[in-house]
Amino acid sequence: MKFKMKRSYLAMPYAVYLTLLVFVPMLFIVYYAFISDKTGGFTFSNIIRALSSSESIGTFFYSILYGALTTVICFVIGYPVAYILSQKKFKMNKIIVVLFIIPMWVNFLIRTLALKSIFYSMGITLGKGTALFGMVYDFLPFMILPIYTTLLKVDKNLIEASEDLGADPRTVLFKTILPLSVPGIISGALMVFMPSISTYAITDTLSGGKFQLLGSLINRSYFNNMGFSSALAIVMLLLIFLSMLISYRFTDKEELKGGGLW
Amino acid sequence: MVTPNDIVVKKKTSSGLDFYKKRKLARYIGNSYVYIILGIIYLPIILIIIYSFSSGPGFSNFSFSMSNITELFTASTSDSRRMITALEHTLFVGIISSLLATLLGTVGAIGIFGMRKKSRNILLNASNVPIFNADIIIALSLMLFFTALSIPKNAQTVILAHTAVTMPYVMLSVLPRLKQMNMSVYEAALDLGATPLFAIAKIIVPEVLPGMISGFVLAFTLSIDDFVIAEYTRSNSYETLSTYIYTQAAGKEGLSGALKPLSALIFLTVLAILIAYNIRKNLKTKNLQLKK
Repeated sequence: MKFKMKRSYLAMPYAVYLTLLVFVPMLFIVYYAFISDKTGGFTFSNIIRALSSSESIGTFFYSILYGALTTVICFVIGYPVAYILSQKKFKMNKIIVVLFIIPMWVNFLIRTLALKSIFYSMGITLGKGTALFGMVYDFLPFMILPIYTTLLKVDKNLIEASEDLGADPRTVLFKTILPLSVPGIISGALMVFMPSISTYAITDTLSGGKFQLLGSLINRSYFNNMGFSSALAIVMLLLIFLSMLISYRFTDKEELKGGGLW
Repeated sequence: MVTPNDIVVKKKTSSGLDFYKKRKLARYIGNSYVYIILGIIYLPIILIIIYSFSSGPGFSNFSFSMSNITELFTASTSDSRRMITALEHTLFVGIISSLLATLLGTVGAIGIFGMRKKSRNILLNASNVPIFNADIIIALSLMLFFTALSIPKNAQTVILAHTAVTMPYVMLSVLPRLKQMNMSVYEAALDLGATPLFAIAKIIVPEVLPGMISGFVLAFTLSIDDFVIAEYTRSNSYETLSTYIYTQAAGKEGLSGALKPLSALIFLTVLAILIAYNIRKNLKTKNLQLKK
């Protein structure tokens, strides 16, 4: 039989590359999580330490608390912005949306260091508050853009219908617009929450080393404790998987294909 | 004499006026809110531009001086030479990895589009993994992988890593273009005797070119913005701009001297490109309207 070139074969290089450089390396994390750094033998101690040591439990607590805080603040600040921009009446709204995107092209470390310079010149001591401010500052566009694109797609007839049926502006907002923008809110929340618990560059730079989230702990322990670091990474992976499952329940599939934001 | 009817009418008009006043006020407040948030977002960037013309690091005590700007262009100290080299590395890694990602992602998208539903969904879900995974997990896993296979960490490891992460984005921006195009043209080309590769190059690629370009731009921006993955997969001597900046992060004043004009330059370049792009796009749509 002659070898026939099928179009689906073209996906082979892509699939092989993805397997070799994304999935195989992740198996190494699993492997190292069960290997003792000292003896090189099989051990559960890394996993146990990642799940029960006071250091990692404290870090989990802080990560989820500050991740959630960042997400909520970004939502409270960002939703009105997205809503106003999605209204046709707002002049030059397309230009303003682009203006919100441009800073994302400037390296986030430059923006973070600029914030540090501002804090220094204003005499503000670095701590949890400044780190939180930095995370909100860096991740706010990730909240605004998905909500904005979802709000643009909302059927205006539904809003008019609820107005015609006698709903006052507040009811229209809470009973019609907000529920219809849930997919955007979920993907925005995901895009803020995930990086805010896994970043270490922002928190390390802007907290003055006063507190660490999960990302920082993984980064700090990998130098001398690869196994512990890998075990923590597995826990973080489970956390990501969990939040993705939750988001799948609320979002229409198209939105989650990653193209939504861009 | 005032009839009840008059009162109703009067009430209606006054509340109507109130309604419009309120709307106007609400819009005014809304617009100012957006501008205030925008102002806060831009404040650090504006300060960077202003303080590029001031000597020393950070944003304290403005004293006019071109020293930081001349430092950027002459690179007289070893530190600013390091910065320029890091910038070159970032651009090199960004261009090579996004070219690779565009090639693999586009060919992959064409292949995925021709797949059966079941295997297509498996690959699409697999492509979501590097998109949703945390940078630090990808970085750590690649570091362990390269170390275990004793692949020397250098420019090529950073390029391999960035290609892996950005490739799915290219694939996802090409795929919608494929869905839009008419595949019968491709089939017709095959029937007329074109080899599959020739038909792909001559028929599919021109159709998906806009998706390839936006995928390339996205891959490039992700690559030059990345810090964590580069930090874990590079060798100690191979710095990218992000990893160089991070070495400056420990300083209490934040941005160091020559980094300010460089950052300002990066921002202004992005701005200029976007403005040029939008003007071109507007001209194009205007021309189209005129033709119609």
